[in-house]
Amino acid sequence: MRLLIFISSFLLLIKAHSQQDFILYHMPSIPQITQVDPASIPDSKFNIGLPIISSIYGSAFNTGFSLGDIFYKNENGIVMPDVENAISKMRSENFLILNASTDLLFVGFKKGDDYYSFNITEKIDFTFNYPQDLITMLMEGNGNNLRGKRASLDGLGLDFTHWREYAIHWVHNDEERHFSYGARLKYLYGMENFTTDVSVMGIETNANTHALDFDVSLDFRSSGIPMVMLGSDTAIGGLNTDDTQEMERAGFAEGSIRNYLFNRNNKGVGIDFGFNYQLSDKILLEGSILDLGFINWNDYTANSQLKQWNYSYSGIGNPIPVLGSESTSSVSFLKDVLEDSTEGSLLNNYQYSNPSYSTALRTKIYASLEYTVDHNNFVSLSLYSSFVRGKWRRGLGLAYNYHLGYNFAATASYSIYNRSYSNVGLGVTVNFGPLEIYCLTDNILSFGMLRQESNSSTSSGFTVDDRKVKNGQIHFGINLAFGRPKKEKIDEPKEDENRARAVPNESSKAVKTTKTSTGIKTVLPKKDNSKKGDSKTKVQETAPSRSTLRKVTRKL
Amino acid sequence: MNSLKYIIYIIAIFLLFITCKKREKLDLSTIQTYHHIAIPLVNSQIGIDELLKRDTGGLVTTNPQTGEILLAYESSAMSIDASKIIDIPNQSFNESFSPPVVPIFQVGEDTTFSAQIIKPFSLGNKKLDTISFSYGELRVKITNNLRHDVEVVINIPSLVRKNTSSVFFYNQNTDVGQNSSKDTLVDLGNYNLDLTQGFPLGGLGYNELIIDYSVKIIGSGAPIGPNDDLKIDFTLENLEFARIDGDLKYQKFSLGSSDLTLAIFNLSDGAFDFSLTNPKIEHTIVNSFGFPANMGMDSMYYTDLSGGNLVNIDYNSSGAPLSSAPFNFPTIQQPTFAGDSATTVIFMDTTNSSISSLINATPKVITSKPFVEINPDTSISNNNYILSSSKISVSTEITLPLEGYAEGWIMQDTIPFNAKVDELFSSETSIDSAIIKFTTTNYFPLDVKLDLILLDSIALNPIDTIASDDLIIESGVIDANGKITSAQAVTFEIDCDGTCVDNLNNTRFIVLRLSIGTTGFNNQQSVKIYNDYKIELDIALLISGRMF
Repeated sequence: MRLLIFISSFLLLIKAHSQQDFILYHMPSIPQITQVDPASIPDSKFNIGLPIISSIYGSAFNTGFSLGDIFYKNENGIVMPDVENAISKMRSENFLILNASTDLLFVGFKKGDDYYSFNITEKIDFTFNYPQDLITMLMEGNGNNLRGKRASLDGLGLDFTHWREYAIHWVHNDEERHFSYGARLKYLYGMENFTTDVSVMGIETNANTHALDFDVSLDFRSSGIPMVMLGSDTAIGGLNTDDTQEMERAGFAEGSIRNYLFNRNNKGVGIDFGFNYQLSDKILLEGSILDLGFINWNDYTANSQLKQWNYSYSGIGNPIPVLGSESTSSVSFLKDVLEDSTEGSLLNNYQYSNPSYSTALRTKIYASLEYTVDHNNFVSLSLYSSFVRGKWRRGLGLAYNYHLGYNFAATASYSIYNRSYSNVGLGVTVNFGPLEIYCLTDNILSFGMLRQESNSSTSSGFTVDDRKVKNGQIHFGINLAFGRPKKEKIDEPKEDENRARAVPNESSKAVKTTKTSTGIKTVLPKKDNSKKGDSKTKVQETAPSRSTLRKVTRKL
Repeated sequence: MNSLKYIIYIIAIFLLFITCKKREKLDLSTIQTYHHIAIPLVNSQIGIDELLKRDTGGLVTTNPQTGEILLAYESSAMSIDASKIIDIPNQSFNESFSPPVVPIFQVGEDTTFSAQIIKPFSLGNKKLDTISFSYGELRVKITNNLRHDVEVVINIPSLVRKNTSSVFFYNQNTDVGQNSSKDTLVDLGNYNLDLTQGFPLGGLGYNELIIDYSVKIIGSGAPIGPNDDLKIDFTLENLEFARIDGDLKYQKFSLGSSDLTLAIFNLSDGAFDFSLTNPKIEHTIVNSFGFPANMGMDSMYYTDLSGGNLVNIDYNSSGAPLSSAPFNFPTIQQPTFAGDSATTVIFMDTTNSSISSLINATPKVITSKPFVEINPDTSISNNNYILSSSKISVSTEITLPLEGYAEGWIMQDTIPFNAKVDELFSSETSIDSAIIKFTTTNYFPLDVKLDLILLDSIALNPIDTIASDDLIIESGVIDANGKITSAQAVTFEIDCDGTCVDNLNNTRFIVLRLSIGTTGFNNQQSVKIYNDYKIELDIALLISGRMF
């Protein structure tokens, strides 16, 4: 316990950011847990995840601000942007991360001390990096907080990947060493990608003359994105939607969808690692590294570069046309002048090509300490980290897990990530025979924020709550699980044939057996230090209660 | 463990409370944005040319040595050419020869009579030595009234052929039958006329034509009666000279009248008070005649544009008190050799004339009636030459170095205006306020004030005045010599509230009125304008309101 408190205090000092699936990490009954903890083995012997409905995951994380931070109602009840508050909430760089995934197929089975599974998962990952000054400019323009300084849009970027993962997974439990380890090997099939490699952008507005100085360096690559033209030049994208043959090859013509789903030449590999180690009777250490891998993009690729474009616009030389004329308003005249002058300069510095390239998956690291309170209650502390556009993002979560036999489990959590301290998670799994239904969320506080019910019933308006919630995530599905262990009476512990008989001891009268999340445990009485010479039965302490298997029940 | 459970239950209840807490609803479809948009409008440099050419009517030039700006007003050139100095009139005279009476002048007999005549050339009071003709006609008509044939030989030593290594005179042999006549015509363009050969013969030594002739009468058996004679008629006409040498004597010629309109800053819409401290009138005289000359003014004065309020311009180059025209300028130079020309520049400035009085805000016309006198010293003889191409031309230029002080120079214009700021971004755009910024870096020693009056499209009625006599450009810093040492940077803002913005949306014309004056005018601080002066002008706009 003291160790747990010490470690949690240390980890609490770490700032928390982005997150994938905290709650799932504490739901061992769900076979999809192997996707976040490759060293876990579900309690059932055989699992089938039906296409799509077995796992539907969606998340939205925004590190910068919540809706309640950027809007407020004025005295007239009109919703207005709250610029100053939004600026105070944001840092210089902020992220909007959207993820979605679904299992097209999941099959897993247990054999001896090993567990094997195979899954096909469709994934979408979207990251939008937005600088603070971008939001300021969008909310209030360049004439207030940004006047007289360089509005830094450095780091502005968009990363988007849509891919499919074909994975085989294996985990082995080493009972003797109280250690289990597993790995997932993945074949990756990429469909679309957009990657921002270089983004240096700034707009400086002179305090007096309002002259605009642009400095821009951009380098982004894409695969499978439709071409977007700037005048007669291609700006981004490598897929020519006007070319019918290309559209057919790409799989967007009638009857050619197979080309899109299976025949793109964008392939990659990835691997996940994980381990579980029982530190003591009550403490389990878990760790995993996920998504070490890359994808090679070869089809419909494009590389758009704008190298060190510096441009200044300070107005026109002749003041008279500024005032406009009978036929032309000054507004449209100025717009035309600005557009023409910047567009011409921009095109002169712009380069476009179609090379192949590679992108790495966003690697994630999970670590957790689980403490067994008793056979029904467990507390865990988890740390999550990943790398988002070169930035190390971290999250911290504290979870309480309750099991009621094999039919019901619930987890509540509190986590800190994405600069948000208001993330309360809740997960529930219910088993009806082989049917397992689960629903998890890392932040129940976000539910209802978008007021889906009222918005869908009205044809006009779109209302939201002003909650200070930045993160929302949900993961739900239905699996078929066979071969779960039957419920055992806790007051009649069965003898484990793998375990040596306990040596009778006066102190054994105080022995208690309880169910744990990992099995039935024998809680030994405290050691009586006043009596020397009496030795305790080591065999009891080294019983399978220290197994590293993430099981709902555990045999002694 | 129980305490842990209780803690967890309490936390769960607390979280439940938080989730159930009533939240404020925000209808995002009713969002009203509020933006501040800073836009650069104008970035220009206004040099001295742009500033002056509009309202000076003259040529803006630069002193190459100092870089100082000058305004120059030029009059058209006046000139006199050689034909005005001298014109050679046609000459005609005749000689009649009556031989002695002879009852019968036998056939085979002849007799010769010779004579020399000195004929004066009619040239007024001029004393010409030589005339080199470019063209002329010498017609000699011999009329023989004798009943005998004659042979007439005429030599004119005064007519010397041109371009010959030896001297050849005019020589003519003519046979004329009895009671008949004969004409001869000679082009004098090949001859020079030497009018000095009479001097050894006791003549004047100028303006004289020497003719030698002899008549040989060839007997025909008829008598020579007392009325029988021989006439020789000489006619020199259509005489055009290439060069004349001699003493052309004193002559005075009027060059006509020249008007120069000086309308500097006359487009100013207000009472303009200025003084230029160093104006100058330059008369440039180019002389290719071979004689000294003087130029002067028969009259020189200025009037207002209607011709009234005549004021004489006084002048004296010798340091004596100024006096009105007529007055003479210093002697005009003459060329050193024929075919050359000499240029003389005569100045009238504040040291020798009263022209400083004419440089003010009132537009005026300067009238000059110059004259030229040649050989002004009538007590001496002159050796003049004149070519057919010789001329004296006079051009007058008024140069006004922009050095002085001024106030009240008003430049006003009504300019079409079409800037509906409420249509800047979308149909929802509604601007609450605007700030128009003028950022200037001024290298001129001028202060500029601005009036901006908005007019509607209906009868151009004023809607609003958004700037009234506001100092938007401040003069640069000048030294004791009136030259700018450092520029002055100023930012001036015109605040335009909601009502003002509405007025801008309805404005169709704008009255732009600039009031310009030199710095230190009240102290009569003189400033100088140089060609590198400029105003750097930036106009920017900051609008605030709902854009989308």
